[in-house]
Amino acid sequence: MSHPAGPDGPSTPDQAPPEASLDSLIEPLYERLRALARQRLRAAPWENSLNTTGLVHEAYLRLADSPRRNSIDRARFLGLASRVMRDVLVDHARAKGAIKRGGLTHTLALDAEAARSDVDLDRVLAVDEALTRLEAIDPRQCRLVECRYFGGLSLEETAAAVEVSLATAKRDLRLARAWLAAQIESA
Amino acid sequence: MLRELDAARWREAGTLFHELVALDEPSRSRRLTQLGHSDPELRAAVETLLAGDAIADKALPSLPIGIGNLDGDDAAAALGLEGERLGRFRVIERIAWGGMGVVYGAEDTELHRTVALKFPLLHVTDSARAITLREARSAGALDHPNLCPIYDVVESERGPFFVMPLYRGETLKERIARAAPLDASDVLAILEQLASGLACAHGAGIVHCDIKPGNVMLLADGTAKLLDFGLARAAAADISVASGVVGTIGYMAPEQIRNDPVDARADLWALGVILYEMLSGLRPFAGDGSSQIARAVLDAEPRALAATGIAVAPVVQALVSGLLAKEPRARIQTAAELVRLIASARADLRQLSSRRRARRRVAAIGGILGATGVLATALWLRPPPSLISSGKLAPRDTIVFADFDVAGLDSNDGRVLDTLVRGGFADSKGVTLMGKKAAEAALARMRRPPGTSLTPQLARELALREDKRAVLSAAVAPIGDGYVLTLRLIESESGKQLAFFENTVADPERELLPALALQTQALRERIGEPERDARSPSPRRRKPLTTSSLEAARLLWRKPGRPRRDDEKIAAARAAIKIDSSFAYAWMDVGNMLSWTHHRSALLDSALGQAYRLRGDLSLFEQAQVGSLYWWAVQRDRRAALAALESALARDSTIEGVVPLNITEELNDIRDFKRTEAFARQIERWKNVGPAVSGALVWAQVAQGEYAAADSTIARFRALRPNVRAASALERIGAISRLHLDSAEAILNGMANVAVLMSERAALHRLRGRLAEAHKAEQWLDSNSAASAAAAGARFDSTSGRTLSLAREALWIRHDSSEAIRQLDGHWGKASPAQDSQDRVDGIQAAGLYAAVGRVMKADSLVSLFENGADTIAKRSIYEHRQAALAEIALARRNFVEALHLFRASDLAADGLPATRCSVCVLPHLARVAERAGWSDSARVFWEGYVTQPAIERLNSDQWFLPTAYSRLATLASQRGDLATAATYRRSLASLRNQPR
Repeated sequence: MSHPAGPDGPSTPDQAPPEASLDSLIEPLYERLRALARQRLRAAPWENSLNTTGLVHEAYLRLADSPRRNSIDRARFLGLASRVMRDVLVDHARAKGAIKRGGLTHTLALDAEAARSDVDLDRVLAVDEALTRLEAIDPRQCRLVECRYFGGLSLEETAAAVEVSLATAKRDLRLARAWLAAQIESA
Repeated sequence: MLRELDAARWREAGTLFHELVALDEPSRSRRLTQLGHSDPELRAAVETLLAGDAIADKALPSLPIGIGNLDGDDAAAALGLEGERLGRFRVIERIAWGGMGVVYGAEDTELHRTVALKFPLLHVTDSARAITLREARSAGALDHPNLCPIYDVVESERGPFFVMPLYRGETLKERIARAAPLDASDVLAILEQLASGLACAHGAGIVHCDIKPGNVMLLADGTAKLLDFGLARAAAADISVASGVVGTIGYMAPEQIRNDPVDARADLWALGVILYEMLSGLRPFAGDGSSQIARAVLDAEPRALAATGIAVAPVVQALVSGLLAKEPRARIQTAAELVRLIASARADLRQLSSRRRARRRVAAIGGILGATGVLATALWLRPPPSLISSGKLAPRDTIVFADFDVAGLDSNDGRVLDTLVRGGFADSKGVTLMGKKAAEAALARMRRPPGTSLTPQLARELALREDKRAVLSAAVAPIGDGYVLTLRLIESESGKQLAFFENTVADPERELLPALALQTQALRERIGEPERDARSPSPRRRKPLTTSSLEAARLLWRKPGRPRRDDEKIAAARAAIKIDSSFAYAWMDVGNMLSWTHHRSALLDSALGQAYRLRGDLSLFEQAQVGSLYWWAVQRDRRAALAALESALARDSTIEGVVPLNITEELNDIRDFKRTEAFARQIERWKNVGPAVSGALVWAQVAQGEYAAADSTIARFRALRPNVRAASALERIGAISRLHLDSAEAILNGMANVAVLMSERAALHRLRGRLAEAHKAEQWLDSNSAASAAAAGARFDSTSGRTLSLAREALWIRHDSSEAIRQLDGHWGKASPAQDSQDRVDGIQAAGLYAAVGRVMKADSLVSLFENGADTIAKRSIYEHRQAALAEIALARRNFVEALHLFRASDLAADGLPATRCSVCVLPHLARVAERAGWSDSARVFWEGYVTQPAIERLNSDQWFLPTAYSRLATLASQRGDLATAATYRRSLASLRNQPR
């Protein structure tokens, strides 16, 4: 029987030199982040709009607090975290959708539960869908949007995570935003 | 149109977009028209993009995520400056970080003092940054004892930071979390300091805009310091905050939320919220999520303090109302005015409390008649010596509690109010209130007919007969426009009054419960706790019955003419939750009831989640129950469930016997039998829990093969408690365990477990006088109030679901393995990765079926393909199906004991059934294992167990396994030469086949 580590459970050991460590850590980080995000969703399922920024930074602090990381590490971490946030939010939205469709829970759903509108989550799915299409034609812009919108990163962090200049990040984001807005409006 | 672009065309469109977006409208149209002739596709794409750009601000910030949320951006949170030198400062440690920035403790190497360096989060243009820094600097230059000064603003390569004094203390936020409700005199002292600091800042034309408990530092000497002046405004000037709204939602004035012009009066509103929070520990405007809170701030009146169970003097209530006026013009206008009002309120209170002290000397009675219906109690008084310390009562005396006299209210309300008073004494080590059942028995000894109501007179008579020293009577009666509530403790021998409390309430629906809770608490304090028992919890001021609404409490506890069915109880609890969404008992009840029948449902998760969140309102015992149930049923983390129980036991070693019992159950479940034994032996000595724990001890012993020890435990158990049902269940365990040692534990956990546990529970609850609980457990045993199996087939509309169903039919009914394989291969022959959680759940089930037809490799690969990556909702379901699939694999590999364990652990038939009452559904699989292993006696026990259970327990696993069960039982009977039994089973099988489907 496996028991996922709790919030105070052991954090990822991190003794290796920073360059080598991040890649080897990506897998456990990913799992940890997902666990953290789920915990949050579980603790406050009514907070449809997760404070993703807080979550991402919290995760970073928890995982990478003690050994100081160079800025590349941090940037790459934040990029990864943003991707995880996208996955988690989308999973969450799907799960909510699944509950809505299922018979049993629907009839029994409490009013408090029902009152929590799923509109926000529908939007998550719409963005996710549009983003998946964008990824097919321009993966970099997709990464930028992930960082900015799902990870809630600042422009500087976004640029660093995707490894482009600030100016390029801004330009690309404007284009991606325009495209996303057009897609969502026409959906 | 855009979707069809390939990467190259997309780049082209992007370049054009950037070119055009910079142009003015006429030149833009000119370019587009030109383009339309040469490349219409590109033109359409660029036009769409431009249209998207125009609406992007509108369409995108409304997303739950994204640019609108960037005010929480703590980019500096992980600056990682520890140990660095910045100019003359040596950074020592990070002290805090949050939405407003990150704070480091540092040493000023020139002035040799410790300072705090605050790195605010500013993503601003140079000019905006200059303005905000200037403003923060001028605010920090204000010289006032309650404002935190800013020594310097330094521009560094790591961004600008403020140099401030380093305070060691706690923030008001921490204080509230730790100690709320705060003492009223402390509250006013803090508020006065904040108002005075604000008056100074407002006088200099500086508004804070983000006052909240987290921005108030309380020093050891009692000084309150207001932090972060000017920073919120700085954030407002920050271009990266799209909306321009700053502040923290719970403390924002209505005009701030509306984004109207904001002035100093918004800060006064925030002080009102803080005042309310200090007094009650609660926010005046509650809601789930920011938008609900914002709506409440704009539209709703703050929850009445009296309704939160908090007594405040009218002068303090007036301050709250004066600060929380929605219209700025109606609010207390200036901080200076507030300072004056607080000073006069404090004077009033001092006068009031000295008057009370005088009155107390004369009357030696604690109650005060509140004229306005706002409850006034002696919050500022030191209580007289308790009845126990003065010898009027002895520790652990039993007090006779007369029936609650509820003249003028619904006669059923007596039961609700009675519950409240009893609840207030539940964790008292001082005295016990005589239970209803004990009182009934005593009345019977007095030859009173059943149903005689226990009036105060009769209660005194009873007390004298039964040698009890005191009688408690309570009454609520109409008086004028309101009601008067009295609680009176009488010495039975002399008839003298030991304690008396009286309050009037104007609105019984909202004020009665809080008032009674306060009186009960005051009574408990008056009685006192035995002094040597230092560990006993002191009465906490907590929400009465976890709700302030009498109507909500009625819904939950009003006794109907007949016992209510589970679904009726759930409906009642839901109605109560509708009235009060923070009604912890109601959430707990829903969670509790559903946990019996709906092992996995979002509703169960949500109810237990809410109850767990509100557990602060519950008693230690209930906290242990809710905590363990939450971890067990929602999170499926048995160790955490165990920890919740153990920590409660550690805090109160005399906690109700169910907690130790549950601990042994959990220990058995995690198969830590050694600990079960050690723990059971340790607590067996406590006589109130011993018998219940024996059952768990027996299981642990049998599981370890210590049958002789188990036998002697059973004998001891029977001597202790001649409960036929439980004892015979235990004997059955012993007997079966001798038949087939390997399968003993599976039998225990798979079949007998539930019945034993339930009868244990029922008996135990009866012992403890918890009739409702006992009734529930017995009801389960009789299984008349069955869970509806309605939603069983909810998802059979999917291809994979239908495939599973067809494969099962082929395998379990027609015993046609090749057809089952054909069905399975049709869907999973070429397994592709799961698209969603349902795919995973179905895939794992398919793995089980593959193993059942002997395709072990395929089963293995499907399990590993689908077992990971499930989302939260499906995780538990996948866990259980996975256990079942692994069990099938083990069975196919002839690891029979392993298979039994795994089937038991799956706690669910591998048949896509809802996991209600699943233990019975598991029996056919246990029987299959036993048959395959050649343990025909065990197989017979399992199959018999399956067919003798009420149909509802088998749910619709009937369709798969009932015919098999009868035919196997018939075969087994004829094999051992019992032809009569074989014939009976054949007849059952025939009649089953003749039934219309």
